Formats: sequence, C-alpha cells, structure tokens
Amino acid sequence: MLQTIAVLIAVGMAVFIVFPLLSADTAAGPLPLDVTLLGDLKRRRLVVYDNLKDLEFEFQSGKIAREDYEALRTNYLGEAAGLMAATQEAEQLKQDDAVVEREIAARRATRKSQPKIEYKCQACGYENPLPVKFCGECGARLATPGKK
Amino acid sequence: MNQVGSVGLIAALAFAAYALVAGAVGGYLRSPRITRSAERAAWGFFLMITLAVAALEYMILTNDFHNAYVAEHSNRDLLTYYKVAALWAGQEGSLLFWTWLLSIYSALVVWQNRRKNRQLMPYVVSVLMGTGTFFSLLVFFVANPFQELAVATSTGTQAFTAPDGNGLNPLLQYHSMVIHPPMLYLGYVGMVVPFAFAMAALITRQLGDNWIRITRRWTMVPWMLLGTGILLGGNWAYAVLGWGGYWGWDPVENASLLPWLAGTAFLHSVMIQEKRGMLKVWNVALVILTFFLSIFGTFLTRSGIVSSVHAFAQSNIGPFFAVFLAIILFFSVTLLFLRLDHLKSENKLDSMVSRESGFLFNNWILLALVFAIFWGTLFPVISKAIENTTVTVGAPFFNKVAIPMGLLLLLLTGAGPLLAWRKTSFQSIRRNFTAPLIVAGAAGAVMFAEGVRNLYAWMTLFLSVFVAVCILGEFWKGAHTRMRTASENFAVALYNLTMRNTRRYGGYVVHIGIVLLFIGFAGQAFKADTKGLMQEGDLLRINNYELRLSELVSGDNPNYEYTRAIFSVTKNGEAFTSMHPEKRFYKASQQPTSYVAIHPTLSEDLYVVLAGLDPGTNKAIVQVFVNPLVMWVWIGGVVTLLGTLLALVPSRVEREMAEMRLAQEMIVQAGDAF
Amino acid sequence: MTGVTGKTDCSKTTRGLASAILLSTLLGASLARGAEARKPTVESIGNEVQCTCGCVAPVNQCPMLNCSEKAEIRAFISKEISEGKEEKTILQDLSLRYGLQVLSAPPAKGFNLAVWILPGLGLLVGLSLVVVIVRRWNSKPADESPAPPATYDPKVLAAMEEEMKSAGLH
Repeated sequence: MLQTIAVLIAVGMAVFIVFPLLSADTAAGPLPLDVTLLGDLKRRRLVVYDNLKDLEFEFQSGKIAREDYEALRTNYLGEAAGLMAATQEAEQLKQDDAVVEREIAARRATRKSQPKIEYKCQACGYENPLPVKFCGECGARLATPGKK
Repeated sequence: MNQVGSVGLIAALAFAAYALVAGAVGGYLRSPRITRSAERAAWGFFLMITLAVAALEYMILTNDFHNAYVAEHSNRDLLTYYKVAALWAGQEGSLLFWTWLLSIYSALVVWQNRRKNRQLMPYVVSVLMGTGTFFSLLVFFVANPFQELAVATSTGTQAFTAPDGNGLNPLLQYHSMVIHPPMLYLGYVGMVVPFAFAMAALITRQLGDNWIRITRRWTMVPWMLLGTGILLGGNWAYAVLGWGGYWGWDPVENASLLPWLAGTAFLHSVMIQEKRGMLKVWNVALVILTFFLSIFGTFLTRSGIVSSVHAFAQSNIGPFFAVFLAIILFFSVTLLFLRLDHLKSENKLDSMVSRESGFLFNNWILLALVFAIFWGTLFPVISKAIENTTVTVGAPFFNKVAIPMGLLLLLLTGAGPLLAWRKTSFQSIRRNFTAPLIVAGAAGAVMFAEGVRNLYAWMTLFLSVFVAVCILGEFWKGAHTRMRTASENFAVALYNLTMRNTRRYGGYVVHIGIVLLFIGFAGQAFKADTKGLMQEGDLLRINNYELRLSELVSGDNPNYEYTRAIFSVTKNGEAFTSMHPEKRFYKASQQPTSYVAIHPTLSEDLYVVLAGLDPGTNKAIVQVFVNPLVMWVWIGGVVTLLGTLLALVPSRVEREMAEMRLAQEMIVQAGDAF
Repeated sequence: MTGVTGKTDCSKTTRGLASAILLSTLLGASLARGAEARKPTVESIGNEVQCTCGCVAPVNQCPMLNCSEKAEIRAFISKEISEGKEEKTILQDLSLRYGLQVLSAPPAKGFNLAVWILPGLGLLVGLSLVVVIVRRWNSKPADESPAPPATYDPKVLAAMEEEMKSAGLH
C-alpha cells in the first residue's frame, strides 16, 4: 500500500518534470541573458564608487597619506569616467531603432547557432552575443563590427 | 517501509541522472524548456530523497528492527533525541543523510535562482545533480540502508526481526554530537554550490564577477557551518573522550580542517577579484580545491585508508570515491585550462605593501598549511606503499608544523586590515602600527613578568593583543571619523559604520573571534593534571584545588548502569563547587564510557574523569585536569559565527546592486516571452 | 598624471620592516622548539608515543577505559627514566620494542625525512610563487592606468557626478 503511494508520487513527479518538454510553446526564445551590457557597466561603476568611498574614508581616518590618496582618487575617477563614457555611447546606440532590430535578429540567430564572431572581444576573447561597441565582459572597445 | 525507501532512492537516482544530462543539454541548446525540466528534476530529487530519509527515520523511531541498519544503530530505550541522530550514526545512513543535504542545497539554489542567472543555471543544476547521481548510486548499490536483517541458515539466509537493536554508540550519546555531524556535513556538502557556479561560469565563459559574487556568499555559508561543526566536534571530544583536550590531529579532524582552510583562503582572495579584478585563475582554482578537499574528507572518513578514532565501518566504498575524485579533478582542471584566456587580470599590483599583497601572504600561509596537513595525514599511507613500513604521524608533528604557521597567520590577521588597498606608504604604516605595537609590547612585558616562559604561548598572547588592538582600533578610528564627518554620537557612528560595510566589519568581528580562539589554544601550554586511586573521604590536590571524594553512588536506568563519584571541591581553601563524574555501562551496546564532569570558568576549567574502579581494591581511579582558557575557544567560536552572520547581512552597496539586478532582470524578462 | 609609481624608498623600508617581523616570528618559532628539550617525564614522552591498543591516540590521550597497553607502555617508560636514560634513547627503545608506528612521528631519517622536509619546502615554493606573481603584476605596462577624468566630455563627467551623489559620494 505504502509502496504503491511512493511509486505514484515518483510517477507524478516524473510527469511534472517531463511536462515542460511537451509544451508546444515554441515561441519561447533562448535563455535570457544574465548580464546586460548597460547593467554590467553600471555595476562596475558602483564598484569603483565603493572603492572611492573606501579611499575617502581611509584617508579621513588617517590610514593613508595625502599623496597616495590624491593619486588613487584621480585614478579611480578616471576609471569611472571611462565606464560612464562607455555607457553613454551604448545608450546612444540603443536609441537607434535599427539597433533594436539588429538585437532581435541577433537573438534569433543565437537560438540556432553560436554568437557571431564579429563581436568577439580582442582584449579578453569574450564572444558578445549582441552587436556592441564595448565588450560586455571587460569593457574594452571592440573593433568596428563587420556588418553595420 | 524498506520498499518505500528503495522506491525513493531509485526515483531520486533516475531524476538526478536525468537532470545531469538535461541540464547540460538545456545549457548547450540555450533552451528554456529543457532547463525548466532539469530544474524540476532537481526538485524531484529533493522530494524523493526526502521520502527515503523519512522512511528510514520512521523505522528508527518506531523500533522497526527487521531493518538491518535500525537494528545496528538504535535500540528501544534510546532517547528520542538520539534516535533521530541514529540516521547519521552509521555508514549507510550518513551517506543517505549527505545526499539529502545535497538535495536540500540543490532545491534552495534552484529556488533562489528561479528568475536569475538563467544562462548559468542549467550547468549549475547539471553539476549539482552529477554529484547527486554519484551519491545516490553509492547509497542505492553499495551502502543501502534499506536492507532486511538476515541470518544465515542451512538453506541460505533468512529474514528475521531482532527483538531489540544494538543501540547507538554510547560515545555519540552527547548533545553536541547530535548537531556536530549535521553541521559538518552541511559544511562539506555546501561547498558543492560554489563549485557548481564556478563550473557553470567556466562553461558559459561568463567569468565577469557575477559568478564570483554568488560564489562568495555561497562559500561563506558552508564555511561557517563547517567551522561550527569542527568546533562542536572539538567540544564533543573534550566533554566525552576524557583526555582533557579538544583537538588531537586525528586524520578525520584534519580532513574537516582542510576544506575549511582552503575556503578561508578563497574568502580572502575573492576580495581582490571583486575590488580589483585580479587573481581570477587563482580564485577558480581555490573553489575547485575546496570542493575537492570536501569530497576528499568524506572519502578519508569512510574508506578506512587511514586509521582514525572515528570508527566508521571500513567498507568497499573507497574505490568509488577515488574514481569520483579523479573525475572532479580532471573535469574541472581541464575546463580551467580551456578558459585561461578569459581569466586575465584587469589590473596590476601597485605596491608590494598593500592590502592585496597582505591577502597574497595570507593565501600563501593558508595553502602551505593545507599542504602540510594533507601531507602529514597521508604520509602513513605513502610510507606503507613505498617503504612498506608502518609509521604514525601524530599530534607532535602537526603541532610543530602548524603552530609557527598559525602564528604567522595571526600576525597577518592584525596587520592586513591596517594596509590600505593598492598602496600604503611608510608614514601610514608607522602611524597605524605604533599604537598596537606599544600596547602589545607592554602586555608582553607584563606576561613575561607574570611568568609566561613558554615562547609559543607568549608569542600567541603577544600577537593576540597586537591583533585585538589593531582591529578595535579600526572600529574606533572608523567610528570617530563618522562622528566627525556625519556628526553622530559614538554608538550611532559605530552602528552605521558596521551596517554600511557589513562584509568588512563582520570580517573584523571574525578576526576577533580567531584571536579569542588563539588565546584559548595558548592555554594548552599551562595545562596541569594529576591522577589518584581514591576511596570515600580521600583528598586529591591539583594547583590550588582540593577535591574530596565524598560519595560513590551506583545506579541504573533503562539505557545504562552507572557509578557516580561525588566530589566536593575547594579552591584556595574555600568551598568552590561539587562535581559528579560518572562511569557508565550502556546495556544495548554493552560498552562502557565515562561521563566527564567539567567546571568551566573564564580563566580555567576543572575537569574530572572517573576512569573506573580499581578491580583489586574497589577504589575509584580518578583523573583531574586543570585546563586554562579553554572557555575562550568556545567563545571565540561563537564570536566567529556571529561575525560571519554579520558579514552575510547585505550592506548598502550590495542592496543597491541587488535592486539594479532586479530592474535589469525585468527588462530582460519583458524582452523574452519566458 | 601622477599615477602610481610603484616602488619608492618608503616601500623598500616598509618591506624591510615586514620581512624583519616575518623573520623574527620564524626565528622565535624555531627557538621555541629548542626550548622544548627538558628532562623527560612519563607525561612528556607519553605525548610523543602512540598507544598500541588501536585507539589511534597518543598514550596520554588514549580514551579507552580498560586499556592495558597504555599502562604497559607507561611502565616501560618510567622504568627507562629511572635508569637515567635520555628521551632520545627511550624513544629508540620503544620503537625497537613496539615497532616504528609507536612513535607519534617517524624519525627524520631516510625516506621518512620527507615528512619533515616537504612542509617546509611547500612553504618556500609557495613564497617563491607569490614573489613571481607579484613581479609579473608589477611588470605590467603602466599605460593601462585610466586617463585622467579631465580628458572626458563634460556630459560624461556631469552624469558621473550625479551618479556619485546618489551613491552617497559628494
């Protein structure tokens, strides 16, 4: 009796597991992205701001000399400005309707094949799934994509 | 019920194997449908293993002695509290328990990431369920707890039901022993989660710091549980084994320490990657090492390749583990090599004297310690294989090797946080180190004058004061800076300081806990002990204590018979306390144990063991220890635990980032009809 | 830009200071080992000798209540002590009588030397690895440091300022 119940639970679970495979919902696209380019840039800026805040605090509590503080501060600000510039360029691109079209096309393409190599970053080797000017992984500027 | 358990195991095995494959396929094809199915299989794995655990636990609680495992590890008169613990008292049950914890972790991860990290998740599920497949194979085919008790008769074997069980090993009938194994296992098993995310990140080439942030939190949780488990084990050894210590460098103890040390190294070096984008390869390697050592620890405990006080039945599961370990190593290291190009450092080191280099030195010592302990633990096996001589590598070896390294680590615990990120100039160093060095120097002089002559103990105490001043100074300076800049009062400033950066200040609290642990360790140098044959009315002296044996009582309860010695204790001639150590004889397992009486205080523990009655004279054999500062080991453990919990509270920046991720998620969700 | 210059005289001095602390710690540690040589007692030798009853603990820590081996080994040790033998000789006699596994760590001879050497070697190899890694980091070209903020478009800087304000930076 108990054994039968156990078997029924297992079978029920198996049906539950297989169910998504049977669904005729072919409209579902590929897996959504974990990290978008703009999100990644913003997050990296937040890390830099966090570092800046730390630096400020360490300077105020007397842990770090003024000379070091100023040099590091300029350095961090430069880093943040670079990231912000990249964001603005990406946003510019995004406003372009054609880009949206291209993005959709690229996403359709990825469903069937690997991402196009045109968006492979020269600096880190990451294959960006979208047409971008800056690498979604390391932020380096990409060579102009093959097709525009 | 055996059949129910077996059905649960078979179904769990099937679901795990399916999820292993479906996860990989779903990830490769980037198919949400297959991924969803694999995730549901992980839920199914959890459900079916839970069913099996429930079946076994039901048989234990209802005294169903036709099951071989229940008859071996439980008995009718065992307290319910300990009956529950019988689930992990033996090989088969504890492997099932291990698998169950894995299924819980897997279900938690799947639930937590039901809308996040969609690209990583299929592979994460695949790796988790790969491990699940291995363990459920093991539980079902090699160490199955759902077997009928059988006796050999002339016509073969025949099932029968035992009238009563053999009972739980009496040494395990102690309260911290009920939670020690689950904590330890949660620690071991939990290391699979960071490993799974690391592998998924390598496979998908998403090696930015998304995975490292997930992994850091998922390492802290098992790291904390493993540490707690280790200390509870020490507490058990101290309170039950009756030799007056809590750590004996037993192979199984070492096995649990190794992943903890590797995890500690990772939790430090991960900060360099998050802040500065460096050490990426190293961090992946550390995650792999930590997981490898967790499985290796499980292997060491159960295969019987090294002799240990943790007497798990020696069995044939060793080779299976060896194969599994080889697969893990081959798979992960190959993947790491294939992705080396994606793991380039984003920044450079600015100066040799910086927080970054402090972390590097910390990693250096921790890894050297891992290596030394690993080597010492396995050396008897190697020596047997190569030289064919049986040697022992015991506590004295490990103490000689580990204490100097431990002291160096302690030094870094205090010095590291005083170094600023990227670069620290000499003036800053002088400013930051002067006060701690002066205070520690003064404390060192006082300790020397007080007669502390053991160099190790003196250095430990000296460094402990140094580190404590460094860390408290960080809190003090930080709070005062806030008082100045945000015009808050001290308490508010301290609270805000901590809550704005829980990771850092939680980490500092952990360091304080570690200092307290070291202070407790240093007490070992001042141990005293004595022994005596006593009859009623006799006196035994140790340091400034006098113990008078006022009465010897014998008694009986369903679980055990006992002889209890009642001591009245005076300290410096004044009445102090009374203590009642026992010697017990457990009926079901027919084993004697002693119940140690401990009078703990902050400065020292008085520890009395009734070793037995002298057969000739019927006098009590009594052993007494004075163990200084042991209490600080447990306090240090609690502080470490609290510090880790504090560090797990999301700080402001982390909350902001989480919100941002959520917003980002919704955009992606809207874009895809998923 | 001023940037980060890496090595300066100051950092050399601090490096000297750091290595001095390190060295003195190591030195102290090795001194402590020397300080351990005292007159042997049953207790001190009992820590160095494994119990042979199968408990896998040093004689002093054998948890078995009715362990006969423990008493025998202790009696043997105390006899040897009363004969005025030194710790080294006693340990040798014990290993002749019970086999090498009675010693809690093998003597540093022959193949067994490895158990003592490798941890030290590991420490040194690790240190040299750290040094190599640090060197490689240091030798990376300096032009990777970001351009100073002033070179960017004012629009970029304004957006950054705003974001910094909302992140709690002035």
